[in-house]
Amino acid sequence: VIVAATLGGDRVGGDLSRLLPPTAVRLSVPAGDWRDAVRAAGAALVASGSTTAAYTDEMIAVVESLGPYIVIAPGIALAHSRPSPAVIRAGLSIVRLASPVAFGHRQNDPVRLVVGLASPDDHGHVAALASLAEFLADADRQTALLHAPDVGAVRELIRRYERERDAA
Amino acid sequence: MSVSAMPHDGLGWAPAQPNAILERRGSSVKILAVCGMGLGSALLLRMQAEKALKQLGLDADLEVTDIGTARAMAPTADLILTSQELADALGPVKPRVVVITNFIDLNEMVTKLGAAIAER
Repeated sequence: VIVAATLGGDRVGGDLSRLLPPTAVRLSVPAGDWRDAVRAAGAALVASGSTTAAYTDEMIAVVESLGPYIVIAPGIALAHSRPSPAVIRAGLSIVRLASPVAFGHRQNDPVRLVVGLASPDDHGHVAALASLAEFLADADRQTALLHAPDVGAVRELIRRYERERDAA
Repeated sequence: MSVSAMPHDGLGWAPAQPNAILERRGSSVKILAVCGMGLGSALLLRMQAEKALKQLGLDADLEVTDIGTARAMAPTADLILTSQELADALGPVKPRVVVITNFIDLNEMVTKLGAAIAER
């Protein structure tokens, strides 16, 4: 199955803010292991109305069957599953763990941030995913995210990034 | 008064364009980005590869696929982009496998993809 034939031209201003409401951002979340960490990202997607609880189990099943490849960068896991009936609408979540958790990844462990991703189709989330990657790729922004005092501060970081990006 | 076969009109004349051939060769590089389901990390790989190719001034066909389909598609690709985990799961394949550790680090993508294409 080949997904996403085209990626260009679908960047929309405010995409991250729209897909990442305050209910989808959680800070200082305690997690004993990687399952807890993924569950927290799933719970945030449920809270924001993006998915049902079944999607959380689907995200965990992905790691169980394919391993910890979802740890896409040092300290960052991108938890997601396929489009499924458990996805109500496209959404993202960000969970900052209270203490780093090992996912079993040889290079990128331990994980401090878990990004949850849900999409009802193969392409609706592409622009937001690109924005999120660009947002996290900047070391200063990542540091600011890791030290943001509250959810409002995280949202402001994202809005500032979007303003700068859209002005560029 | 000298006589020349070349017209001295200040415009000169255009040499043959070898670039056309190079560009054709460049666009024939087929890259397959592989992730577990073809829509999370593989999309990131594809986005990063697009940026890297632009930076390198190269052109390529980029496709995204999931691990289940990747083995069947591998023979048609020149390069495979994926994580170490999925490279291990994929096993031996014909195309060179470029393993990316940090999916959001553009420098890593530019370095590894640039080297892999240059060595083709």
